[in-house]
Amino acid sequence: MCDLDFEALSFDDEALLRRYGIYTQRPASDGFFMVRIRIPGGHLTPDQLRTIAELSSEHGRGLADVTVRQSIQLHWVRFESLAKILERLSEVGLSTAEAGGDGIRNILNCPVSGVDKDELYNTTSLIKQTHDFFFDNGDFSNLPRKLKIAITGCAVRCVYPEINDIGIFAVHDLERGGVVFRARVGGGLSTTPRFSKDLGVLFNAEEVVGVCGTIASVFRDEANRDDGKRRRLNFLVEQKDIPRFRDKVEARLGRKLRQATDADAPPISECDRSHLGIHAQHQNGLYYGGLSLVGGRTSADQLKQLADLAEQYGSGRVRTTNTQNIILLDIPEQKLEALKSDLDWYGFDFQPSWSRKGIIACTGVQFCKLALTETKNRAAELSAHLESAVHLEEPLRISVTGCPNSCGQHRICDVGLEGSLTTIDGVKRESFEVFLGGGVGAHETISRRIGVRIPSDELPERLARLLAYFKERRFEEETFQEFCQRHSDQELTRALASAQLGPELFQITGRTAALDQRC
Amino acid sequence: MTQAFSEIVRPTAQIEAAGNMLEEATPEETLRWAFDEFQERVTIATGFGAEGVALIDMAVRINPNPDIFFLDTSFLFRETYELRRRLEDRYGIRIRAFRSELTPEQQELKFGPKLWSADPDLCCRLRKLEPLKDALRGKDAWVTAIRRDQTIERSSARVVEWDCQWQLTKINPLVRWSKQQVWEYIARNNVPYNSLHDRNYPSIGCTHCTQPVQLGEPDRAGRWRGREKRECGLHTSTQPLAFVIQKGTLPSSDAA
Repeated sequence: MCDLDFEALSFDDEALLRRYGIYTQRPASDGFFMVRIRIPGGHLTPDQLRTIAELSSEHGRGLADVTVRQSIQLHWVRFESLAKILERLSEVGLSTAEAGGDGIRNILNCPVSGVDKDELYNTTSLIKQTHDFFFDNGDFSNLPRKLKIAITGCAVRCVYPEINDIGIFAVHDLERGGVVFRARVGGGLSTTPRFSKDLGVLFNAEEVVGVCGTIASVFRDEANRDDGKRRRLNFLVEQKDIPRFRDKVEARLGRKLRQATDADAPPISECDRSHLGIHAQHQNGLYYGGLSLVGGRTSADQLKQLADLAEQYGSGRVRTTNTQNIILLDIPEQKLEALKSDLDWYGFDFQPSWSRKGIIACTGVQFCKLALTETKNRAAELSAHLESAVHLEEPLRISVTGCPNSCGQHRICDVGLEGSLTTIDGVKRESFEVFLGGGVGAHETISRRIGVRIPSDELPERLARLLAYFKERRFEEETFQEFCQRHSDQELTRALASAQLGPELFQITGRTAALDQRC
Repeated sequence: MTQAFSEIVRPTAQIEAAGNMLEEATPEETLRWAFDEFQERVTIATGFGAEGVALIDMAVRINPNPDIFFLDTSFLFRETYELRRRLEDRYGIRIRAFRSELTPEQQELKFGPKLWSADPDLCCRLRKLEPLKDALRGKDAWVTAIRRDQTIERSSARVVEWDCQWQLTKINPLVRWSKQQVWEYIARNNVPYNSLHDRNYPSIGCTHCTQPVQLGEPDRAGRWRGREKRECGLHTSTQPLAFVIQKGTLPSSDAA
């Protein structure tokens, strides 16, 4: 690869690089790259973490971003550094293969699997087996589109099986006792968000890899390859519908799977899925500490510090989360206080406020060629302002995402902000369109476009107004999602207006304007 | 067209036989039969009335995770939404919400203000009947909590019948029960119920079209008060329902 010149890169070369998690960075003409390191299940050893920190510092200007697929992205990477980075990663058992492009993306696991007190099943080894099955497997090198897999035994299903192409999760076996697995298929956000559908079957842990591989092979052989926009698994699931899709899977397996008596798994009650803060592990006397990174942005220095702290106070095991945060495992009770004071000293937030706990941000215009707006810094400003302006008991999921492609998962958040450029008084301004009331779990809902855009400098104050309005007028125990369902677009828009700022800067989006004209 | 269609949908012998077999059955026996017969292809509709909550309690004892839905017109009482949450927490179940394609504002833009009063039938169609189609999609049977003595339209309901309007099997386990039996069941099993029932609302629909009743009035007298209308139309029509609004003609919120 290194015989190539950056200037000589063709479109095909770029597609090949993306398969290896390597993307050109905005502006492409500058010749910098983003490198996405896949971390199966988010499991990291201190050596791996240190290697990533070193690579970031040597080749990536000291920046590192934790992603919503438990991966870590480096930026500012020069073409000539790529081979060196891949080699160093492979020395510590890490890779970037299929971290991008139409491959099997990083497989998600609950970041506290194996240590969580409430978990139904420790899926750690299942993640490894599934990763090993697909990794470098020529049978799956030619998929129609990317395939996102999540496998979890987490009691709160923290890795969102609802929005993965294949989401496998443990449930209590209501008929026979014990724990079994169920699969949901065809989730995905992108520009047309869809929740996955339950396959309606129950299977054991030993069958997980087989079921997963079989679903992937049905996808490989049956999905539409013509229309570039309709290749994801969700289109196949929609076209076949669940019973016929299940038949396909069972036909390939060569046997019937045990049929569930219910069409959907029993719901988990609404709760915080973040695993942040300090919590007792199921191993007696040990604790884990989930640290908030706000938007996933961190640095080479911080990653190195975390590797050191993980070894000094814990077993060294570190996990990345699908909410762009980091967790240190296996800290003995007697070392907790010392760890906390060190975390404080280095500026790590182990007691995130409601507004920091659930905020995520995509890469944004700083590096991403598709993005229209800045995101990471906006998320930091926003969470800081909200924390001081409004106090809520429970975390809200807030997403700052730079374009309609949903890398920031804004359509499943309580508050989803989608970046756009809006002409106001003849000037193009960075703004965010507001989506409210999204969520996963028992009442999975795609967030609703309420029809306003907010200039980005007004975002913190206007959202603080909305949340104050929610706090003032909510019924006892009413969730933000329920509150939004109960209130009209107009009411929510009015709440976003504030006396100081005045309502005139609100832009009604094209979609709503068109409706006005029709009627 | 409709003529030919309704001929096809005459109750089949099987449904007739099931209806006969279960005419004397307890609600629990009927529910058990429904779950056995239709597996994951049966869904339970609830409007959160007294009958509805009793039925949920019975269903959960037989099948710990039944498919249950309600039609969220966006005009329900606060107490009704609270009851949904109480039931979900108590039984560890999900009660899915189905809503109109039209938000209340879009409805107002399209059909004018206070449609519930200008044309209550159309309002019910938009906010209940159309969403019901989504709720029943892919199902072979639905369970309702109607009782024969509620309205004249319901007096001929059978335990198991073919639903001409929605084109699937309809199961009504409580048809033979009296209001008193329902309330005895609720009290005996401590089933969560709508607190409005304690405030002279025996039958509860949307906020705009439900009023309390006076002593001696029939239970459903507070529904669509001052009008001939007794039913929203979920349980009445004998013909397949024509589409009111076509899917895709309105800007949908999640289009690409």
